[in-house]
Amino acid sequence: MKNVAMLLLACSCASAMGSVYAAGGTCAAPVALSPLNAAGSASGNTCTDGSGGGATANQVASYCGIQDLSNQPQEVYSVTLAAAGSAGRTATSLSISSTTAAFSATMYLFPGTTAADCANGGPPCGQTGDKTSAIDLTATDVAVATAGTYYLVIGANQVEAKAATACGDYNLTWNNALPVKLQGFSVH
Amino acid sequence: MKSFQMKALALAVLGLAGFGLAGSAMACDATNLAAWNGGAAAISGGTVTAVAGGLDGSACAMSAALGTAATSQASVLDTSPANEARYRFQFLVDPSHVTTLTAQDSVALFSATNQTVAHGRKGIILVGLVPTATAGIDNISFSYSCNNGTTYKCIHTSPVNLVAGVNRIEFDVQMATVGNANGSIRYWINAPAGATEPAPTDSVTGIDNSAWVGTKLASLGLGSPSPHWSSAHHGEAVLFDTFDSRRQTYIGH
Repeated sequence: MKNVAMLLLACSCASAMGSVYAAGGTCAAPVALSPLNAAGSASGNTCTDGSGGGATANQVASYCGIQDLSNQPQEVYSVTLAAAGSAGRTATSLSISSTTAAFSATMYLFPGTTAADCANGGPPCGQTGDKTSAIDLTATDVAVATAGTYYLVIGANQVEAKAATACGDYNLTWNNALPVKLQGFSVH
Repeated sequence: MKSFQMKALALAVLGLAGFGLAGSAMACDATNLAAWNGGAAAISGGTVTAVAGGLDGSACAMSAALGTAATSQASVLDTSPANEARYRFQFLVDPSHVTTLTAQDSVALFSATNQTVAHGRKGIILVGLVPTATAGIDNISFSYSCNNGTTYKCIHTSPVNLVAGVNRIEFDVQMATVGNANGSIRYWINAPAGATEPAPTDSVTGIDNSAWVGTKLASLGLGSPSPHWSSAHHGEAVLFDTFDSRRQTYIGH
């Protein structure tokens, strides 16, 4: 009779600990996040994080060349990502939530290195996510798969962009799914 | 004739090109696309085909669909414009075969570009399909080059939504004279029949776009998909027909 024993010292469970960031910045002065190789979160409110406690300013007027975001308050983070699937990118998903009614908090993650790249809003378009759909950071066939510097813009979606209520609170979270590593193996 | 017809340029001075899918008793095959002197650009999983059922009562229409890649394109190209300082274009589009758009969907339907790069951009105008707050009702949005000193890109969304089925879209793009903000974009969505130019559906004036000179390349079909379009609407066809372009006079129908 064979006895197979495997010792798993690491698991794929997400870490509950991690860096916590406050509100985002602007295209000119984004708030830099960790490289998403540890769990973390960031939160803000696009209605009140602006000057004098008012709404933040619009940063990206158009996304992907066509989506009209010109009238919505936004906040901006920057993040340097390792390639998808590499040891440097252990986060597998980037999620956003909001308690503000009638505000579909939306994430726009796209590549760029300068404030002008940020304000231009792509293309390249990167990936998007909202309260109902997280950004998948594991896929190798999407525009955010390659290593590089990205902007993460938080705002409303294009349908809400013209509405006066197109702002609200948000909470970004990303996990740290450590890969499963086989540490021991024996056959008896 | 079954081929993609060039319209007789009766208005030789004012006209540029007209492309319709005439069709015949023969199949709506790839030869229908031959009239586009820039050919078809079916890239990264994109497909461009001629299919039965023209949008204007003719036999054939152009069907364009994208693949899953962000770089996917499915369009036909017209290189006959000669840096046109004024460029009118019209086309029929039927997006009814596309499943309901969500807030993260968008795709380009038409673009006109300059010959050279100015401020990092070649595009003069990019017309796209976008959703509205009402599921199943779509709209158009367009970005255009403008000298705003930062991104050199401005954007505008139509206040009038598209109707279900076939829509007739006409634009009149005028470049500014050098040093002035006197360029304009006027457009008509489903204008009433007639050759006399009606009041536009909407317009944007005071554009400083002289740095982009004029239209040299026109592209009709799908491109620049948003990430969600690529994942949720790949393979879904948008139909096009009856493209026409002119330098001066209203196209109408």
